[in-house]
Amino acid sequence: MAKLKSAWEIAQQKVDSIKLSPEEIEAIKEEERIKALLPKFYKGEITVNDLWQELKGSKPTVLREAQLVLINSLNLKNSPDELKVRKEGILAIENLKENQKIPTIESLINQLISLQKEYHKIKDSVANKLKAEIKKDPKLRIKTVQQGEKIIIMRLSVEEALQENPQWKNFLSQHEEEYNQRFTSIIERIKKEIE
Amino acid sequence: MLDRRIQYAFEQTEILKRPSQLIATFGSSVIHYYVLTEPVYSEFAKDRPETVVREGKVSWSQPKLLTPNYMFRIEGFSKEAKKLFETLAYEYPELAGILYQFKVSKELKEMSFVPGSLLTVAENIGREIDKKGDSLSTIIKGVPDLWDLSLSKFILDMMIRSIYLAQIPDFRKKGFLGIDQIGQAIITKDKSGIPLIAQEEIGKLFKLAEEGELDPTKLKEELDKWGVFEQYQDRFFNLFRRKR
Repeated sequence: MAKLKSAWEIAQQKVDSIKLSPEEIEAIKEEERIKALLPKFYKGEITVNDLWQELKGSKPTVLREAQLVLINSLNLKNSPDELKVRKEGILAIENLKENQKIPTIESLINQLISLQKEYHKIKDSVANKLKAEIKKDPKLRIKTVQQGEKIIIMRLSVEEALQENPQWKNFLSQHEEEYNQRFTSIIERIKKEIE
Repeated sequence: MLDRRIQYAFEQTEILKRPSQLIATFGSSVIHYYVLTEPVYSEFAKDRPETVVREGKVSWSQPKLLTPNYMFRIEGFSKEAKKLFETLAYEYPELAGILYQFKVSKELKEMSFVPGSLLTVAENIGREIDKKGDSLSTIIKGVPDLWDLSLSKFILDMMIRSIYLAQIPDFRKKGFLGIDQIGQAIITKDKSGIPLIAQEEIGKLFKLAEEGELDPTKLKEELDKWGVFEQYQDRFFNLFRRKR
């Protein structure tokens, strides 16, 4: 009777069958190093100069990978400080490349920053307008939960009432969709530039 | 589809005369309603207009002030509502909610066809109400086929007006409710964290239980809903010691 193989033996067999080249192993190691490095940069544990020093002399593929990680972490909801840190990181890495496109990339990131400012400005303006309406009309501050002939009514704060307001929900989903599309389109352009 | 029908009925419904009294804070209330609609054949009988008048009563039990924790323990609400109460209990444990329980008395529902246009009939009924000095009647211009939704709009309108003009001021006067810094209506608590409204209601229930007029199980349920059994357990167990 043939001996039954344990799960470990089966797994080991699979691992053994995959042969990685030394270059591939090196690339995986580099990737892991970047993964460990960038969170420290986001948290402010290392400066942009430290990042630059750490990546100095790295292969173009590694530099590009690091930039991609930073670019993918950009989004509409980043705080202005988060955007600034990421911008500095992307440009610092660009500075390590042979064919640098610093002015183009910087200009695109600045467009992202302006777009984010515009997104917040419009959002805040609509929020303030609706909040003023809610303050004026007490009915808009009411939250009702009904089940048959039982109704619970609560008087909400203006901020909560805004979050529950159908007009606000509708505006927010459209506004976010529009600005996310524009944001993503600029991100794609940045990605092309770092190739 | 149902939402659209509700929205349509709510938009088309008009409360022509509101009762001058609101829902009572410390007692029950009964409102006599007249829902007026045009008959479905009105297009074909323009020379002899008629109005459909439906009459009945809506009664409200005494409104109950409660916390999200209490709301979560009330039976009969959907899963979604329970989830909302749970979130509120976690985020705003002191948020005040007011529970209204109403009943549309079907046995009093009457339908009659009255000669005259809707507005003329409404004016006539309004005059009668004023003549009698009746402060607990309402006239609603409803939507044919959806008149029950028209009545729902009135019921909701009545509660929203009452919460602002009667319940919140009355409960505040009694010290059961306050308004916090961000403008939410919140339950007032004593130093040990027991809502003052709970103290008052539980006090009444204990008295009834001590007099043998209330089943202690009901009292226990109420203590659990307020989440204060621990604070009242000695007094609760005393009920049984006394019986021996």
